Amino acid sequence: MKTQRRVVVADDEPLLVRELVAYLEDMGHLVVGTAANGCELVECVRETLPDVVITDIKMPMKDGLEAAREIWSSSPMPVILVSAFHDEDFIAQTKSEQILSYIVKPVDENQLATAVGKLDGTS
Amino acid sequence: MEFFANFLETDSFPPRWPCGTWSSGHGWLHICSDLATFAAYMTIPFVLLYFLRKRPDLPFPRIFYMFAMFIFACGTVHGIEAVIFWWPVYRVSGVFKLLTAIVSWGTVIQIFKSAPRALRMRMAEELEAEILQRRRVEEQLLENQQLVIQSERLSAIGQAMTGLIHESRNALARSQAGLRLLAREVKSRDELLELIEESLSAQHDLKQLFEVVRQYAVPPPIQREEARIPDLVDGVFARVSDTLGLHDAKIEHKLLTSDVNCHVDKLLMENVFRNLIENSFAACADPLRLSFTYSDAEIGGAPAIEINYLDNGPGMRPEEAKRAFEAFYTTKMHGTGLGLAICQQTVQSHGGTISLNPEREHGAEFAITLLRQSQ
Repeated sequence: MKTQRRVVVADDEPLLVRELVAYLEDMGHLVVGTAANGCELVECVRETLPDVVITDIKMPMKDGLEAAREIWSSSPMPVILVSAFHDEDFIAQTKSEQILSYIVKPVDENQLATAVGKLDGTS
Repeated sequence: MEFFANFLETDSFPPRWPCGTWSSGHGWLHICSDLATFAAYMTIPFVLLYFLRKRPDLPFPRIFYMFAMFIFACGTVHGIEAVIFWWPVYRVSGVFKLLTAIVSWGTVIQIFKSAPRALRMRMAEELEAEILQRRRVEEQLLENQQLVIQSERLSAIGQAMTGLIHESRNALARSQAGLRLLAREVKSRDELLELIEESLSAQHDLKQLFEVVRQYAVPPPIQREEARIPDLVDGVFARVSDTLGLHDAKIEHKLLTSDVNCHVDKLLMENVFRNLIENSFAACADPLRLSFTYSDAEIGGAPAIEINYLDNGPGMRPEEAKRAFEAFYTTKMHGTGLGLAICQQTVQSHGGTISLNPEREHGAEFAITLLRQSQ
């Protein structure tokens, strides 16, 4: 049985946030906050202390990876990165135990379920 | 002084004819030979001087002048020898012999002086070979310069293309997200769902096109490793057969060389073979027969492998074959026109060549030549 997870979603595109929220709610997870840039994401995570963060990489003010590093400095939060491109070099550079998964846009519902499912050790 | 005062005096000597017992034949043998030599020796200096005038760049002109004088002097001695049979000008003969000796030694000295430089001079064949070699180097340099310019252009285009595609894909992702959210709202309206599905499918095609264009504009770096080419081909053939599995398709390998290994980027070369095999699957009716022939080759003197690929499909018309590797040229309804262009780019980045035989009437025939090792 899958555990309900508390999730924070960040993307500078409101439509993509809405889509992710819809998928996550369909899967039975609870979206406790959304953010449109890296600064908002860090703030939101501090306030809501989610189980997992799903964030776009390219965002204004502070990108997703920068925000994730700031979050990790206070707590080892699992992060799912979302990007428009599948970039092997980038993945190699950002290898971190806290990165749960790396999803290429457009986000597929099954991919998202697999990524979040890694928290349970299932997919 | 008395010698020169009687320089042309002949009373002291008999002519040569009455002196001794010359037979007519023996005497004329000497006279004719001396006269013939005299004539030749008088001609040679003029020829030499003519050469010098026409080719002022000729090396060692002094030797030419000395030889002209030396031959001329020898000629006069032979002329006088013939004349002496009737007119015994022995004093004149002696003086000309002395002059000949002086000029001969002058020539010898001049030859010795010029010898070291002459020995250092290279033969025309050597110079021609060097010129040829330099021309090759210049051509190679020009080719490399053109490649650098082309590479810089491609790099600039690639950067622009990458930015454009990145932004386009973001817009596409937004558009797809909107459509999928819309689909959730109109679950009961099949006709609307169908339209949304069509739009999503078109956007999927666009996304694929972006990926292919990006691959063409920004080719990935090559990571070579040793690979057995028939194994790569077999792997690709198995995957394509599984994906398109409706065909009665068979593949045959003909090994005309014992070494079918080559240092290549496996993923990129698999992509080349996949492209060729998928094209054959798309173009050929069952039964599909594919043949790969491997043989030894050379590229610029370096060992290479030639892979000849042939299918049993309809092949390409000559005008199509000429444009087959052009970017965005396609004969398919749903092709991007970049498949063979990317194949060519990949093979060329391996230091190889790919060509399509435009003369073949039945079946498409490609020849790929790859360097066995990177250079």
